[in-house]
Amino acid sequence: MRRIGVALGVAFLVVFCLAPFLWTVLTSVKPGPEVFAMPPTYLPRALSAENYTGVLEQRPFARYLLNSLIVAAASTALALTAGALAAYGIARLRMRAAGTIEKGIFLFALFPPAILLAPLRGAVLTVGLMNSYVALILVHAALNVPFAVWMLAAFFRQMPKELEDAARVDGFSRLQILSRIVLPVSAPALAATAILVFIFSWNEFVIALAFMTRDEMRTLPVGISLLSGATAYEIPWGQICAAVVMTTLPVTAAVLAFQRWIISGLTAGAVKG
Amino acid sequence: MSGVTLDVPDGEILTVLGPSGCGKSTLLRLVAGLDRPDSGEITIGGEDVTGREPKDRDVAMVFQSYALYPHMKIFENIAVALRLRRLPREEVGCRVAKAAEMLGISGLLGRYPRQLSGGERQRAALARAIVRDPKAFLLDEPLSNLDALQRERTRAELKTLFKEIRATVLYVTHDQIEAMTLSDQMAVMRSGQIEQVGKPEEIYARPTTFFVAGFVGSPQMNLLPGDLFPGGAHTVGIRPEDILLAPEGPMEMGVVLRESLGSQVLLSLRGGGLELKALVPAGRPAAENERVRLDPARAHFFSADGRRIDSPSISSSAVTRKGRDGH
Repeated sequence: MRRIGVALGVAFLVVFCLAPFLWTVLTSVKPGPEVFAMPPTYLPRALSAENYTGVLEQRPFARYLLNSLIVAAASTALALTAGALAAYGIARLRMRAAGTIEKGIFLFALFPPAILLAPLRGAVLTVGLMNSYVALILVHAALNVPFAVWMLAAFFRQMPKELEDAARVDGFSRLQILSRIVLPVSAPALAATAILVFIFSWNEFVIALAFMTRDEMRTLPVGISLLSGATAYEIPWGQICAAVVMTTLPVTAAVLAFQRWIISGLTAGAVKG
Repeated sequence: MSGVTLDVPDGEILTVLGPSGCGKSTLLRLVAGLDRPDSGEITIGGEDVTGREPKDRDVAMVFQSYALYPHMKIFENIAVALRLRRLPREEVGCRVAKAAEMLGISGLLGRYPRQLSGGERQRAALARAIVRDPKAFLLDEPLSNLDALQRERTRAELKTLFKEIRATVLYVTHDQIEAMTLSDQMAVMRSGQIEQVGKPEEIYARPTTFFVAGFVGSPQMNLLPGDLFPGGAHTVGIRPEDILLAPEGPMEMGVVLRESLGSQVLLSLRGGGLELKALVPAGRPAAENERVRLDPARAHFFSADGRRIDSPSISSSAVTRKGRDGH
């Protein structure tokens, strides 16, 4: 009895959470007129790939995808590199200011990015980096460094210190200890952090909108939101849904592929490995 | 920690024995170079290494947790220190194979640490130290994560191994059996100070401080008020095996508890305002009361500040307890 109750509850939650996405998927495979049919059809009467071909052929979707990949990958790499170095310093080197630095970094994370938008845009305009990857990559990375520091410092702290002592006696230098011992051992935490930072950058909208004014530089979320129909009064819902599906699936696939790593990263330290 | 002077003779095993938190691990870390001393100097093989990084001290260390690199196979774990010192490939392979053979882990070189049992990991950690052929070995409670049986076996193997390669070893432990059995020299440490250094049997026979008397030896030495014997000692210590049970003994004490240790029995005795533990052969018949004689020749005397008093002015004849006796 109790099991059935739990199962029903779980089923309800899953449906509740996934319903919007399910609706998006269903809409994306409906032919044009059916998208706007009244009353709405829940299951598509006919399957059609026209929205997908439309987005790929008539819109610069591939370009958006490329922009998003470049920005997300580069900012993830940057945030992780800076974050790992900072986190290691904070967690392990006996610096007097370590605590202050760590708190300072978190303070920065408390600012809503929207507050930073105007001054950042001004700065980017001044140095002439509008519509360049560099500016967006730097800002996405900077916004994620606190999170990366937080995740990695926590992981580094619970790593057995004797491991690094052994490495020092064995003859590793400080940087070698980080690159050849600490980081490989932290692979699960790094993977978890990387995925979450990547998803943040992949989904980030406001800053990408403000920094990229030329259509061919837009990232996926901005590009999709600005998809317009033949007239100002027509919103191409079918194509938007197709684009959203194509945007979401790669990330979902990546998360599923790394899932075991991420879980072991988030729960690391709970169980001694 | 202050005022610590220790000398490990070439090719000998010196163990540092002390309760947890006494600074023995800190001592080891200072020698390894993992921590820096505020003052004083550390020499290894005649060279002053006080200001040097751990890697430039030519010491190898074995940690309590073994600290094997989890992402490297056992071969890599053992080889990496040699590789970092840019030894030629063939020599690295040769030395790793030899070290692995000495420790009987040749078949495990292709595995990862997580695929090894506790005892095997311990051997791998030892191999990692031995392969370096360092001037000194530093071992920090290397046996404390093993079960009792493995510990006993490994203890004997360690001694054989270190003697075979004539290693100079500084070995830190809180286990007195380990210290007693392994050491050429033994140092007893308490709250950052060395209490006594000497051969294990010397320390057992002549503890120079009250602390050492109570810490070394199991079951623990009986520590009794000094007025048991004339001579003005503050405390008197008599080991349980030195308590004489004899019909002519002047003190009658009740047997509170009999604990069998196999070949011997540990008796807890109470009477005359005293509590004693006595170690007697297992064959001794159980009795409700025992007559006890305390022989001052087998007693250790300590002053109020815990120092040993070597020749308290007492006669060597048996002395009866005065004063509180009979209350």
